[in-house]
Amino acid sequence: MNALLTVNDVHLAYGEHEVVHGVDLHVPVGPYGLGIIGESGSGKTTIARAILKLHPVVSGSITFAGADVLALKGSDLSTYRREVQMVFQDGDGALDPRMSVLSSVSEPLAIHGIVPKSQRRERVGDLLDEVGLTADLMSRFPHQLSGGQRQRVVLARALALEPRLLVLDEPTSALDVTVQERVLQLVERLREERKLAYVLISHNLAVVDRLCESSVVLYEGTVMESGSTRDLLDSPRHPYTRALRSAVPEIGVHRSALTRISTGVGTSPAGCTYSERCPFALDICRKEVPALLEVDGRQVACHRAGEAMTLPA
Amino acid sequence: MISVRDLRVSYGGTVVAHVPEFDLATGQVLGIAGESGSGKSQTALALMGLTRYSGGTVTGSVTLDGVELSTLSNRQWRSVRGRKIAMILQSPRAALNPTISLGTLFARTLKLHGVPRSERHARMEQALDEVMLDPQILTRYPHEVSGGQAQRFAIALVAALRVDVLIADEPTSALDVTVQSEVIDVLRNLRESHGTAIVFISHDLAVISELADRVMVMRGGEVVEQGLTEQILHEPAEQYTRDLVAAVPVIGRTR
Amino acid sequence: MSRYIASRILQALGVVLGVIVMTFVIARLIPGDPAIAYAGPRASVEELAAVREQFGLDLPMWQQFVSYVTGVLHGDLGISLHTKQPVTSDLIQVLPTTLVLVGIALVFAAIVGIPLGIAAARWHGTFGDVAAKIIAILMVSMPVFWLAILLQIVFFSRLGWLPVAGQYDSAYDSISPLYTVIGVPVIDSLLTGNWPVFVNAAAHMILPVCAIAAYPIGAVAMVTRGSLLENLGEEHVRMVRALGFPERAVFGRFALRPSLNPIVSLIALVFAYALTNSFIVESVFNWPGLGSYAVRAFVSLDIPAILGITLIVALLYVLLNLIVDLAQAVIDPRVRA
Repeated sequence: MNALLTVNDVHLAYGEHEVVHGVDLHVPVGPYGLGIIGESGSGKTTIARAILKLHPVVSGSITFAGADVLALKGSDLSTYRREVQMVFQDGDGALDPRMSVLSSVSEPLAIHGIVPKSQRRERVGDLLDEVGLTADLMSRFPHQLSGGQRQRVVLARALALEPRLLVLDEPTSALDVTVQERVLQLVERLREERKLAYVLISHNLAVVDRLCESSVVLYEGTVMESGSTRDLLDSPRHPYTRALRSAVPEIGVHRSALTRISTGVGTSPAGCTYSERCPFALDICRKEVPALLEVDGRQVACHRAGEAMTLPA
Repeated sequence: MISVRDLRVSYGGTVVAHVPEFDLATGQVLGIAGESGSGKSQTALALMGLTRYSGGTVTGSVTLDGVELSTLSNRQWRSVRGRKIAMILQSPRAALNPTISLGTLFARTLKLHGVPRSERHARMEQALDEVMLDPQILTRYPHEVSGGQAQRFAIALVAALRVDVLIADEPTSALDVTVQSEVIDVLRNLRESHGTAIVFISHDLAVISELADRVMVMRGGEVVEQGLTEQILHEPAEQYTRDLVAAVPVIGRTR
Repeated sequence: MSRYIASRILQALGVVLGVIVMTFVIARLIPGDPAIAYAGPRASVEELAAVREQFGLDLPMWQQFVSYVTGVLHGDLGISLHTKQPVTSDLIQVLPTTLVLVGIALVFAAIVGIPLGIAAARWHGTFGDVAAKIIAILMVSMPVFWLAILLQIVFFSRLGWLPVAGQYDSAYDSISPLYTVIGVPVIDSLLTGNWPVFVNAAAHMILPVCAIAAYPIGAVAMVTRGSLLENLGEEHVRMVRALGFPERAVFGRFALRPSLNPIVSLIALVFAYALTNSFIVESVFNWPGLGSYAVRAFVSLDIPAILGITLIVALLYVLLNLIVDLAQAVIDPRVRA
């Protein structure tokens, strides 16, 4: 596998408090999608920022196309920033409200100086066309656009520098359902046309299922399960993945919380971080942190991964 | 129990929500589905009489147990809100005053509605038990609890007040998916043990389908379609409704 | 919580240290010869040399700095060149007067400013709001020396209701002698139960306090209004309304407390402004406080006194900020986290 991005045993912290405990990620050269599935507190956004060198890494390494990302400086760093771009969750907050669409999308072109001023407008027009927007939107401002249009503008801006890797943080979460579909189709098309590789962060399993070949399930900064997305979602081996899967709201399906409900008071366990909420937790789970082992074609961090666990009726 | 006829919410002459008719009886759940700008949240505010605080006006009729709500004065509303009808909001932690503890808020609210001091603690404990929260949470502040816990606390508060109707405005939208079903379960419990009627507002049809007996689909301020949940989901009459149903993401469908 | 307190205190000490260094550097950069300022323009060369030696002005700069810092840490701020007394005892003498004046002015500002801001928020969008805003802006815009003199003209010259200057009528010294406790007549008379003097001294305090309090009243009112309006739009206010709480409780109990933070911060800022305003007010009303002392010190280039005054003002400001930070932690639990 031709590795584009490798994240190796990375630990991230906010001050004294560690929020990501040794996470590994592998993204091969595109077209490819790696999904990071996690809820609030999982550390997914912190990891995204660390990949973009927006958050310091306590320990571990990040490699991009063979180069050590953490050691990059000067023009090498500048190149890296061109090749790796982020698409933020909140299209509303990602665009400067005082800058027109034209200014926002041409800003990266100006900063990196890869397109002479006279040609920028044309290039912006091409980019907007690529994301399915018409050129007459160039003079508009963010508040004059719909949520879906804003998200497309953010995409256009991210693509302006011809990146090899995109990091998409919850790209559709803030959008209306009827609009989400079109944005997802857009991402699929861009992926094929540009041979893009991306890391897609989402709590929405259906989106990850659609756009990512492989995925990593994160809970409170630790990888619970990782492998091919299809395997993970069709036959989850980790209790948390199972809980996530069964918690997806589907029409006509009665959801059950496959987690022990949190009463609001409790202490953090020494062992597996998920043991507090896990309905299958044993004593060993609370005492020993399970290692990430290969089970049934994917990696699972669970003491009981090999067993067939069912809830008591 | 609650009946709405020709309800119109307007801001500066523009009608932002128009609901021709619906009725809700004890223990029933009505789901209002719609995207942004559909008018569903405005409808919720109008049912609580809160529109005037944002500078809007409401016309039409809303009757609760025979009492006409649309003509009530501010003073009269105070004996309806928190007693007959209550509301929970989308961002649970933002909906709780950040400078007072959960316990203080709970106690003050019970006191406001005439629960004698001797009874207050017992009611709070019982309500917290129903939503599976430890009473110790009463000493916490909103920023010290998770979103799911805060939302369940809000439901506990409403349960302790023993209201007839609960308006839930996107109660699960801001929550993690594994926590959402906890909140839905708690709401279901509220309806089953207390007979509370619920108006459940959401952009997510799948979530609405879990709890609602009937569904009302809104778009651009107007009601597109309404009827029994089964019917709306499986035999929608309108194209927009079909679009909404189709837009619910399903795992494995697009491989 | 205690970690928060400890870190704030450490930061405060850091600031004080910085001020000490800076005042020393700046004082040495001021043009003019302090020896001449002390001994007078007609002093002979020998007298000047003797003065220089006495005050260590002929020593190398770093030595002067070291002796200055050691002195400060022992409470010795040197000898004032214009009073010829130790600066420390000068300050002890004048400080209470100014602190009482500024303190009461700030309390007055809070008592008047906060309700004014609440009223403006309550009547938001109506004429009441506009009126309140006009009053607040007027308060903030009036130059303090102009206001002080205007108050004297209106309330003394034209109406004859209040005394023009001074802390109390010296006529009372024979009728009902005042015993000095801390050197501030209005406080001393209160402490010694000397009612005639107390009433008189209080009357003498009204105009100066009003002059100093004007700006703070306006600032506090505007910030209160803004903060309250911002909080009124928050979800948690909608929630308590939905729970059935009456508007006055929504305003008073639920919206006000989260709004207090910016107001409390403002008081610390406004204190510094009020303190410097008191310099002028004390001159106009002839009050023997820090302000008058400072004016005389500046005019006579009294370096030790100037350094001492600067240091004291900085210390007061740091102390007040510390108190404000602690108050915020008490009011808003989010700050403690």
